[in-house]
Amino acid sequence: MDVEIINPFVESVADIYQNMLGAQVKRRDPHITGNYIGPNRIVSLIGLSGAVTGSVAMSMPRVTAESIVGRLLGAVPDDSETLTDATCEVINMIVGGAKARFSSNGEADIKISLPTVIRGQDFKLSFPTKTRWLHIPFTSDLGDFDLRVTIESDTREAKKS
Amino acid sequence: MKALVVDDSSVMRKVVTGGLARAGIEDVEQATNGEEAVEAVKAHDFGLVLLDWNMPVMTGIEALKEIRGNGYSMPIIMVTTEAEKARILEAIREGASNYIIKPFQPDEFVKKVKEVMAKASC
Repeated sequence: MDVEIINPFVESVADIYQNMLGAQVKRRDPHITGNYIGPNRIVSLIGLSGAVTGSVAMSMPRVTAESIVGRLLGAVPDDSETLTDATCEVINMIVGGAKARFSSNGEADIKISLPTVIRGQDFKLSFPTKTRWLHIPFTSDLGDFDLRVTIESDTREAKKS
Repeated sequence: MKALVVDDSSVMRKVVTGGLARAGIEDVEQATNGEEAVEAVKAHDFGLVLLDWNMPVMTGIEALKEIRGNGYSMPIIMVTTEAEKARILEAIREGASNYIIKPFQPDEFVKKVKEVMAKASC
Protein backbone atom coordinates (compact mmCIF):
# COMPACT_ATOMS: atom_id res chain seq x y z
CA MET A 1 0.00 0.00 0.00
CA ASP A 2 1.52 3.29 -1.14
CA VAL A 3 1.63 5.75 1.77
CA GLU A 4 0.70 8.56 -0.65
CA ILE A 5 -2.77 7.04 -0.75
CA ILE A 6 -3.45 8.99 2.44
CA ASN A 7 -2.99 12.37 0.76
CA PRO A 8 -6.60 12.70 -0.51
CA PHE A 9 -7.88 11.85 2.96
CA VAL A 10 -5.58 14.35 4.67
CA GLU A 11 -6.55 17.07 2.18
CA SER A 12 -10.20 16.25 2.74
CA VAL A 13 -9.81 16.57 6.52
CA ALA A 14 -8.13 19.96 6.08
CA ASP A 15 -10.96 21.06 3.79
CA ILE A 16 -13.61 20.20 6.39
CA TYR A 17 -11.79 21.83 9.27
CA GLN A 18 -10.96 25.01 7.40
CA ASN A 19 -14.21 25.50 5.51
CA MET A 20 -16.93 24.06 7.65
CA LEU A 21 -15.54 24.02 11.17
CA GLY A 22 -13.31 27.09 11.00
CA ALA A 23 -10.66 25.28 13.03
CA GLN A 24 -7.00 24.38 12.80
CA VAL A 25 -6.02 20.76 12.25
CA LYS A 26 -2.60 19.18 12.04
CA ARG A 27 -1.62 15.78 10.78
CA ARG A 28 0.93 13.93 12.84
CA ASP A 29 3.22 11.23 11.48
CA PRO A 30 1.33 8.32 9.90
CA HIS A 31 2.42 4.78 10.65
CA ILE A 32 1.36 1.23 10.00
CA THR A 33 -0.82 0.03 12.82
CA GLY A 34 -2.35 -3.11 14.08
CA ASN A 35 -5.86 -4.23 13.55
CA TYR A 36 -7.46 -3.15 16.77
CA ILE A 37 -9.21 -0.04 18.03
CA GLY A 38 -9.77 0.20 21.77
CA PRO A 39 -12.88 1.19 23.73
CA ASN A 40 -14.12 4.56 25.00
CA ARG A 41 -14.01 6.08 21.56
CA ILE A 42 -16.58 6.80 18.89
CA VAL A 43 -15.59 4.88 15.77
CA SER A 44 -17.11 5.43 12.36
CA LEU A 45 -16.43 3.10 9.45
CA ILE A 46 -16.96 3.51 5.75
CA GLY A 47 -16.09 1.27 2.82
CA LEU A 48 -14.78 2.07 -0.63
CA SER A 49 -15.45 -0.09 -3.67
CA GLY A 50 -14.86 0.05 -7.39
CA ALA A 51 -11.60 1.43 -8.77
CA VAL A 52 -10.32 1.87 -5.20
CA THR A 53 -11.38 -0.71 -2.63
CA GLY A 54 -10.74 -0.50 1.07
CA SER A 55 -12.00 0.85 4.34
CA VAL A 56 -11.62 4.00 6.38
CA ALA A 57 -12.13 4.17 10.13
CA MET A 58 -12.29 7.44 12.06
CA SER A 59 -11.84 7.21 15.80
CA MET A 60 -12.20 9.95 18.41
CA PRO A 61 -12.97 10.41 22.08
CA ARG A 62 -16.46 11.63 22.92
CA VAL A 63 -15.13 15.08 23.90
CA THR A 64 -13.81 15.63 20.36
CA ALA A 65 -17.14 14.61 18.84
CA GLU A 66 -18.93 17.01 21.21
CA SER A 67 -16.59 19.84 20.18
CA ILE A 68 -17.18 19.18 16.48
CA VAL A 69 -20.95 19.15 16.88
CA GLY A 70 -20.76 22.19 19.11
CA ARG A 71 -18.89 24.03 16.36
CA LEU A 72 -21.41 22.91 13.71
CA LEU A 73 -24.56 23.64 15.68
CA GLY A 74 -23.45 26.32 18.12
CA ALA A 75 -24.26 24.14 21.11
CA VAL A 76 -22.80 20.96 22.59
CA PRO A 77 -25.37 18.18 22.22
CA ASP A 78 -26.66 16.33 25.22
CA ASP A 79 -27.66 13.20 23.33
CA SER A 80 -25.56 10.41 21.87
CA GLU A 81 -27.68 10.17 18.73
CA THR A 82 -26.57 13.62 17.59
CA LEU A 83 -22.92 12.67 18.18
CA THR A 84 -23.40 9.49 16.17
CA ASP A 85 -25.07 11.40 13.36
CA ALA A 86 -22.32 14.02 13.32
CA THR A 87 -19.48 11.48 13.16
CA CYS A 88 -21.30 9.74 10.30
CA GLU A 89 -21.52 13.01 8.44
CA VAL A 90 -17.89 13.93 9.08
CA ILE A 91 -16.51 10.61 7.83
CA ASN A 92 -18.91 10.84 4.89
CA MET A 93 -17.41 14.23 3.98
CA ILE A 94 -13.83 13.02 4.50
CA VAL A 95 -14.24 9.96 2.30
CA GLY A 96 -16.45 11.80 -0.20
CA GLY A 97 -13.78 14.44 -0.61
CA ALA A 98 -11.07 11.80 -0.95
CA LYS A 99 -13.17 9.95 -3.52
CA ALA A 100 -13.46 13.10 -5.63
CA ARG A 101 -9.69 13.57 -5.42
CA PHE A 102 -9.06 9.92 -6.41
CA SER A 103 -11.28 10.29 -9.45
CA SER A 104 -10.19 13.81 -10.39
CA ASN A 105 -9.58 12.70 -13.98
CA GLY A 106 -13.23 11.73 -14.17
CA GLU A 107 -12.51 8.14 -15.10
CA ALA A 108 -12.40 6.26 -11.83
CA ASP A 109 -15.68 4.78 -10.65
CA ILE A 110 -15.53 4.67 -6.88
CA LYS A 111 -18.47 4.04 -4.57
CA ILE A 112 -18.65 4.61 -0.84
CA SER A 113 -20.82 2.71 1.58
CA LEU A 114 -23.20 4.18 4.10
CA PRO A 115 -21.23 4.84 7.30
CA THR A 116 -21.43 2.68 10.42
CA VAL A 117 -20.78 4.05 13.90
CA ILE A 118 -19.67 2.05 16.93
CA ARG A 119 -19.60 3.62 20.37
CA GLY A 120 -19.54 2.43 23.92
CA GLN A 121 -17.50 1.93 27.02
CA ASP A 122 -16.35 -1.63 26.50
CA PHE A 123 -15.66 -2.88 23.01
CA LYS A 124 -12.74 -4.05 20.96
CA LEU A 125 -12.84 -3.60 17.21
CA SER A 126 -10.72 -6.06 15.24
CA PHE A 127 -10.16 -6.69 11.55
CA PRO A 128 -8.78 -9.67 9.62
CA THR A 129 -5.23 -10.23 10.80
CA LYS A 130 -3.68 -9.64 7.38
CA THR A 131 -5.20 -6.17 7.13
CA ARG A 132 -2.60 -3.41 7.25
CA TRP A 133 -3.84 0.00 8.26
CA LEU A 134 -2.19 3.34 7.79
CA HIS A 135 -2.87 5.17 11.03
CA ILE A 136 -3.02 8.94 10.65
CA PRO A 137 -3.24 10.83 13.97
CA PHE A 138 -4.56 14.39 13.95
CA THR A 139 -4.55 17.14 16.53
CA SER A 140 -6.94 20.06 16.25
CA ASP A 141 -8.52 22.99 18.05
CA LEU A 142 -11.51 20.71 18.58
CA GLY A 143 -9.61 17.74 19.99
CA ASP A 144 -7.61 14.77 18.80
CA PHE A 145 -8.84 12.10 16.43
CA ASP A 146 -7.39 9.63 14.00
CA LEU A 147 -8.05 8.07 10.65
CA ARG A 148 -7.14 4.54 9.74
CA VAL A 149 -7.02 3.71 6.04
CA THR A 150 -6.59 0.34 4.40
CA ILE A 151 -6.63 0.00 0.63
CA GLU A 152 -7.00 -3.49 -0.80
CA SER A 153 -6.73 -2.55 -4.47
CA ASP A 154 -6.31 0.52 -6.67
CA THR A 155 -7.08 0.02 -10.36
CA ARG A 156 -7.36 3.64 -11.46
CA GLU A 157 -6.10 4.31 -15.00
CA ALA A 158 -3.71 7.04 -13.86
CA LYS A 159 -1.98 4.62 -11.54
CA LYS A 160 -1.56 2.05 -14.34
CA SER A 161 0.09 4.54 -16.65
CA MET B 1 -41.47 31.70 1.36
CA LYS B 2 -41.17 28.14 2.54
CA ALA B 3 -38.09 25.99 2.00
CA LEU B 4 -37.58 22.22 2.22
CA VAL B 5 -34.33 20.76 3.57
CA VAL B 6 -33.74 17.11 2.67
CA ASP B 7 -30.90 15.15 4.32
CA ASP B 8 -30.75 11.87 6.24
CA SER B 9 -28.39 13.54 8.75
CA SER B 10 -30.18 15.50 11.47
CA VAL B 11 -26.99 17.49 12.07
CA MET B 12 -26.77 18.53 8.43
CA ARG B 13 -30.45 19.46 8.36
CA LYS B 14 -29.78 21.78 11.31
CA VAL B 15 -26.66 23.23 9.67
CA VAL B 16 -28.51 23.88 6.40
CA THR B 17 -31.53 25.30 8.23
CA GLY B 18 -29.23 27.63 10.14
CA GLY B 19 -27.68 28.73 6.86
CA LEU B 20 -31.11 29.43 5.40
CA ALA B 21 -31.97 31.57 8.41
CA ARG B 22 -28.84 33.63 7.75
CA ALA B 23 -30.04 34.00 4.15
CA GLY B 24 -33.37 35.31 5.44
CA ILE B 25 -35.40 32.12 5.01
CA GLU B 26 -37.02 31.18 8.32
CA ASP B 27 -39.96 29.01 7.26
CA VAL B 28 -38.34 25.61 6.75
CA GLU B 29 -39.68 22.06 6.59
CA GLN B 30 -37.46 18.99 6.75
CA ALA B 31 -37.40 15.57 5.11
CA THR B 32 -35.06 12.65 5.79
CA ASN B 33 -35.00 10.99 2.37
CA GLY B 34 -35.98 11.50 -1.25
CA GLU B 35 -39.34 9.80 -0.93
CA GLU B 36 -40.39 12.13 1.90
CA ALA B 37 -39.17 15.04 -0.20
CA VAL B 38 -41.31 14.05 -3.20
CA GLU B 39 -44.39 13.76 -0.98
CA ALA B 40 -43.64 17.02 0.83
CA VAL B 41 -43.35 18.89 -2.46
CA LYS B 42 -46.79 17.60 -3.46
CA ALA B 43 -48.27 18.68 -0.13
CA HIS B 44 -46.76 22.16 0.29
CA ASP B 45 -45.85 25.13 -1.84
CA PHE B 46 -42.06 25.36 -1.50
CA GLY B 47 -40.08 28.21 -2.99
CA LEU B 48 -36.77 26.38 -2.56
CA VAL B 49 -35.59 22.80 -2.01
CA LEU B 50 -32.15 21.80 -0.70
CA LEU B 51 -31.43 18.20 -1.49
CA ASP B 52 -28.74 15.79 -0.30
CA TRP B 53 -27.70 13.06 -2.76
CA ASN B 54 -26.93 9.87 -0.82
CA MET B 55 -29.93 8.96 1.32
CA PRO B 56 -31.73 5.71 2.12
CA VAL B 57 -35.13 4.79 0.62
CA MET B 58 -34.74 7.25 -2.29
CA THR B 59 -31.62 9.19 -3.25
CA GLY B 60 -31.56 12.89 -3.91
CA ILE B 61 -30.97 12.47 -7.64
CA GLU B 62 -33.98 10.13 -7.88
CA ALA B 63 -36.09 12.62 -5.95
CA LEU B 64 -34.89 15.44 -8.20
CA LYS B 65 -35.94 13.51 -11.31
CA GLU B 66 -39.32 12.74 -9.80
CA ILE B 67 -39.98 16.29 -8.59
CA ARG B 68 -39.12 17.73 -12.01
CA GLY B 69 -41.05 14.93 -13.70
CA ASN B 70 -44.09 15.92 -11.64
CA GLY B 71 -43.84 19.40 -13.12
CA TYR B 72 -42.44 21.36 -10.18
CA SER B 73 -40.12 24.18 -11.20
CA MET B 74 -38.97 25.70 -7.89
CA PRO B 75 -35.24 26.18 -7.42
CA ILE B 76 -33.56 22.99 -6.22
CA ILE B 77 -30.01 23.11 -4.85
CA MET B 78 -28.10 19.84 -4.39
CA VAL B 79 -26.12 19.94 -1.11
CA THR B 80 -23.88 16.90 -1.20
CA THR B 81 -20.45 15.29 -0.83
CA GLU B 82 -20.67 14.08 -4.44
CA ALA B 83 -18.03 16.38 -5.93
CA GLU B 84 -17.10 14.72 -9.22
CA LYS B 85 -17.77 16.70 -12.40
CA ALA B 86 -19.87 13.88 -13.81
CA ARG B 87 -22.19 13.99 -10.79
CA ILE B 88 -22.55 17.76 -10.97
CA LEU B 89 -23.39 17.58 -14.67
CA GLU B 90 -25.87 14.79 -14.02
CA ALA B 91 -27.67 16.87 -11.39
CA ILE B 92 -27.81 19.93 -13.62
CA ARG B 93 -29.06 17.79 -16.50
CA GLU B 94 -31.85 16.43 -14.27
CA GLY B 95 -32.92 19.93 -13.29
CA ALA B 96 -30.86 21.07 -10.31
CA SER B 97 -30.63 24.85 -10.15
CA ASN B 98 -27.28 24.85 -8.41
CA TYR B 99 -24.87 22.65 -6.49
CA ILE B 100 -23.17 23.07 -3.11
CA ILE B 101 -20.42 20.62 -2.20
CA LYS B 102 -19.98 19.55 1.43
CA PRO B 103 -17.97 20.73 3.29
CA PHE B 104 -18.93 24.31 2.63
CA GLN B 105 -18.05 27.64 4.19
CA PRO B 106 -21.15 29.08 5.89
CA ASP B 107 -20.77 32.43 4.11
CA GLU B 108 -20.45 30.73 0.72
CA PHE B 109 -23.61 28.75 1.42
CA VAL B 110 -25.58 31.89 2.20
CA LYS B 111 -24.19 33.64 -0.86
CA LYS B 112 -25.17 30.77 -3.16
CA VAL B 113 -28.69 30.52 -1.74
CA LYS B 114 -29.20 34.25 -2.24
CA GLU B 115 -27.89 34.02 -5.81
CA VAL B 116 -30.28 31.18 -6.62
CA MET B 117 -33.25 33.01 -5.12
CA ALA B 118 -32.34 36.26 -6.90
CA LYS B 119 -32.16 34.41 -10.21
CA ALA B 120 -35.48 32.68 -9.53
CA SER B 121 -37.23 35.97 -8.88
CA CYS B 122 -36.19 37.44 -12.25
